[in-house]
Amino acid sequence: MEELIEILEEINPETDYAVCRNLVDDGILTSFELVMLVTQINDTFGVSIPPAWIVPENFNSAAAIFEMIQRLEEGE
Amino acid sequence: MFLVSYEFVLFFAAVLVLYYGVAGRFQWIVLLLSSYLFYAQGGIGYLFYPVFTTVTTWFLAGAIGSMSRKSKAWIKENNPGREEKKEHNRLVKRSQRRIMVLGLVLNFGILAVLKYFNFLLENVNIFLHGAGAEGEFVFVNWLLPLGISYYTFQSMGYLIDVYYRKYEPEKNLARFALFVSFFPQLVAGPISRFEQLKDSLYANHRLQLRNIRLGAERMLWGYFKKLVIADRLGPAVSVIIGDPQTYDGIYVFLGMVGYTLWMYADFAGGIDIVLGAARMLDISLPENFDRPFLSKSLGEFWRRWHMTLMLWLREYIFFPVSTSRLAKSGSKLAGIVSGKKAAGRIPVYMATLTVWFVAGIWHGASWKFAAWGMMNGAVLLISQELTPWYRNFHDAHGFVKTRMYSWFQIVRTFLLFACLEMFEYYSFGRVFFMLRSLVCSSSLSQLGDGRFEALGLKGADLLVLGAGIFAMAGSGFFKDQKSAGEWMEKRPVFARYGLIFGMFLLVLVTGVYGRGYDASQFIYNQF
Repeated sequence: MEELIEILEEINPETDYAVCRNLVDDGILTSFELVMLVTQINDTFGVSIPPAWIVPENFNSAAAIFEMIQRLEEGE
Repeated sequence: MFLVSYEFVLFFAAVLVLYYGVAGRFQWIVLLLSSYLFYAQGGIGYLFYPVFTTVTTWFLAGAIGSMSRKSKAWIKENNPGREEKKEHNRLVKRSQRRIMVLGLVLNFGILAVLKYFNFLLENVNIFLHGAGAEGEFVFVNWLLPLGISYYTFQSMGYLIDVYYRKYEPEKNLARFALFVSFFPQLVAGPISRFEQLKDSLYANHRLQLRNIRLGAERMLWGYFKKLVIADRLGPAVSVIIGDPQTYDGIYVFLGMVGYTLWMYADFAGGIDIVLGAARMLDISLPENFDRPFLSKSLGEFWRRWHMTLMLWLREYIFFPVSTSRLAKSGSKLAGIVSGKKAAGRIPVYMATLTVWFVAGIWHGASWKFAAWGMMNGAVLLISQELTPWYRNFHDAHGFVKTRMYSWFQIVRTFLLFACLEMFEYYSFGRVFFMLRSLVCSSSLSQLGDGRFEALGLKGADLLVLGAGIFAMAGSGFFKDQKSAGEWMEKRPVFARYGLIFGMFLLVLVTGVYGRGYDASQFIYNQF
């Protein structure tokens, strides 16, 4: 989780990721930042996020992103 | 048959009577038959295109869905190990991808041939002339079916969603045919998603006066934007942008602003008519505009203008391109050469430029539109690169939190959009030439030198236009159409019906009819 928070802070340092639950719905993460995030997750965690998984439910909070990474690691 | 015609009003009234006259379970059949009748008005042969798209998409999506069901059943029955399951899923996905690609090639292929074949020939001819050849290819006079870009994009979105297993494919071909051809949205969108539309499209609907009233209000508001503002502004703006030699200086600014308002009134007016008609049928379609002229950046603007197309491009091009193997390889290479930051940029750059190239040629088969798209993409990428600088600037200066600064951002975004629109109607080089003319040789006195009179706008036209644009801007104070409707609901009955009658009279009296401008056509119909 720490690694993920580091990535998020590097992309958009102005957000408190411990509390924010609407990163995509409130437009805090733009499409550009989402793609940068996906690329960095790919490099750091060695998982490949399919385009269909880039939906608000999977990216609205750090916890949701982390849960998605875990699901991908399990090979779902 | 066009949305702005007496034929359409009569046709729609007849559909309404029939729709609410039959039993609920037959209502979707009335809509399907009406939609095909609406489409066949331009010639029965045109029906081939939406029918082809309907049949191929339905069949291929059905095949993908069937493979998913069989795969699930196999896994349940055989309970394979992790590796075996992975391999099984990979093989199924590969077969499904092939089917999806076949559907995309067939349907985008038709669109490409009908819309872009002559553009290709034009460029081949230019190349041949350059090489000294004397002959040239003759253009093929295709008749572009109405709304082909809209229903093709909508159908292909459905096919991709089924491939991604977002929902089960529709089993009934006729019901799916209605999703592709639902007549109010067939001509100019919005581009709907199956999961959003299916519930209201196939449900039983009871006649409710509230729906009829709210739908009528919205349609009248659309006719007002189209007939009173767009069709009055259009001819004058066409004169300005069609003769850049004469209309330079301050007229470049008038052309820029006028063209932008014309586009908005025309397109948003058409969407209001479509959404109002759907509301009367008790069917909810997605909104296409969210007060775009209140945006504070170009990125925000494009999230609020033609929203359904932008969402389509984001989901089906931007994300797939940015996560594609090519983007990943490019990212890796950039990471090795220039470090982590560059690696993150490659997928964003690739996806952004692809999306905006497609958005450009979607609007028109010419290099002008491609240039317009690429310029938008370039500005968005530059502003993305400047984001850290903006953040520092905003942290260091308190005035950025004032209302005045917000208005500055809104005006700046409007002018930036209007400026980028110039790439749609001038050639690439001409845009810079005209902007230089605007900056270096503008003066208010140019408005009185006779050129303005030649635009054909009389005093009464200017008054109506001013009031119309003021009303259009005023409507921006409502958060959305729902809150405008709620505000109306709270007015007394006579005020509500009085407003509908007043708007009807206003459209009738101040609308532009037959002044050498084809009122029935919408700019966005051509796409």
